[in-house]
Parts: sequence; structure tokens; C-alpha cells
Amino acid sequence: MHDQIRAAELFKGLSASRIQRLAAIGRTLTLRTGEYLFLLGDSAQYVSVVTSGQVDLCCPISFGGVVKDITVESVGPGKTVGWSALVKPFRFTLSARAAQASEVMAFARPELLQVFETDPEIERLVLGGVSELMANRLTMFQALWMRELLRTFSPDGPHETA
Amino acid sequence: MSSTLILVLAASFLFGGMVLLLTMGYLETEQKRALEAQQQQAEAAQQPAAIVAMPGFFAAPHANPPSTLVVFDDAMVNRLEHHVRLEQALVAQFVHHPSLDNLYRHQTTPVHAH
Repeated sequence: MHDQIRAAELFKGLSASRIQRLAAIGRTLTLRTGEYLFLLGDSAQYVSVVTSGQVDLCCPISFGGVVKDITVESVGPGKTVGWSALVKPFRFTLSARAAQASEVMAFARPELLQVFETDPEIERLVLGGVSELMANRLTMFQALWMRELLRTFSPDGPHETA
Repeated sequence: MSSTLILVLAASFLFGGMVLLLTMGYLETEQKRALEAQQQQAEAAQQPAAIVAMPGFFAAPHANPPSTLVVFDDAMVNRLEHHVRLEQALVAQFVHHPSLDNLYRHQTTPVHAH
């Protein structure tokens, strides 16, 4: 588990002793293909790191009364899912579904907060990583939304500027 | 006798004038009605084109057909996911290097419900 934590983007830069502390509170979850780790709107109690396989982050889309999950992002080993567990209102904003047989390492919020309390350096690094993930997600959706807005109101849609 | 004759002639003239006025009025009204009917028909013929040309608020002229016509099957899911992947690939550079060029790169595969 130590190597998996060391390889995780969320725990980048942590020393061996700090990785040890996180390994003590992490638990491994196994997912079958198609199994959901969490659903949009669920109470977010765990932040997880994918250790093997692939997990799809999905958003439900409705057409003519039929609702289906559309994959908006696929994440593999080392990537984080469920960072909503560390940010209010602690609700998942997407669903996570295993695209293949996968394993994740889950960290419960209360235990993670205890670790943060006793070691502020872990808190600083982890929350820094979460901020980066959030900023990337926000920027990506901002860009997608701007392009969609342009496509809606301009008959030509997004155009080549280069 | 002659006064009676004059009176009859005057009465006939007045009556004839009134009948003539009524007839002309009737004909004029009928002409107006026919003209209005023609105008209404012409407007009715132009109306569909006007509705089509009317700009939608959220829907662009090239927008997809109403969702009720869309069959939301696995092929549609694949098309949507393919579109999302392409769009994400196009904006990926913007995430790391925000710029106008990176934001408005040309999108090559618009989603259409066939």
C-alpha cells in the first residue's frame, strides 16, 4: 500500500513516515466492472485513490425521459476520485463507476481529518493537491461551457483562431 | 296634374338614387371583403416561413431536433462520450495554458442525433 500511496497524485511530496500514517487509515476496495463506487448526490464520506483498473466519472443525462450515465472523465492508477469528501457540502457531484475490474484505496474523512490535525504538513500537501484538482476541473468545465455557449449563439460555432 | 307628375318623377329619382347608392355601397363592401380575404391568404402563406426565421432563445437554428425524436440508445451514448472526449482533448491545453487560441480551437465533430 505504501508504494500506491507514494504514486498517488494526491499524496505527492509526502515523506515515508507520513505515507506510513496514511497507509494506516487507508482501506482497499475492490470493484467489479460496472460497479459504482458512489453516485451523484450521495453523501461524500471517502476520498479515494485508484490503485488499479479504471474508474469512469459519469454524469446522468436525460433524453425523452430516459436517463443514462455519460462518462465525462476516466481515471486510472494514481488518480483521485471523490475529493468532494474534503469540500463542503460533502456531496458527490458526479458518479464513479468501474470501467473494468478495479481497486481503489479509500480514506474516510474523519480519520483523514484526525491525521491533518496531528500533522499539518500532510494537511497542507493534501489540500494543495485537492485545490489543484478542483482548479483543473473548474477550468476544464469553464472552457467547455464557453465553447458550448459560442456554439449555441453563433451559427458557425467555435472557430479556428490560429 | 302636372304637379303630381313632378312629384312622382322626383320621388322616382330619389328612390332610384337611393337604390343606386345602396348597390354601389354593397359592391364596394364586397370588393373590400375580397381584398381582405386575399391579404389573409397571402399572410397565412407567409406565416410558416416567418416562424422558421424567428430566432430561438436557447436553440440555435442548427440545433438538434427535439429530444423526443432522439432514441437514447447505446449508440447515442457512444456519440455523446466521443464528443465529450474530443472536446476535453481540445480544451486540455487551455487547462494548463489558458489562452484564447486554446479556448476556441475548432471542434470537428458536432453531436447530431440521426
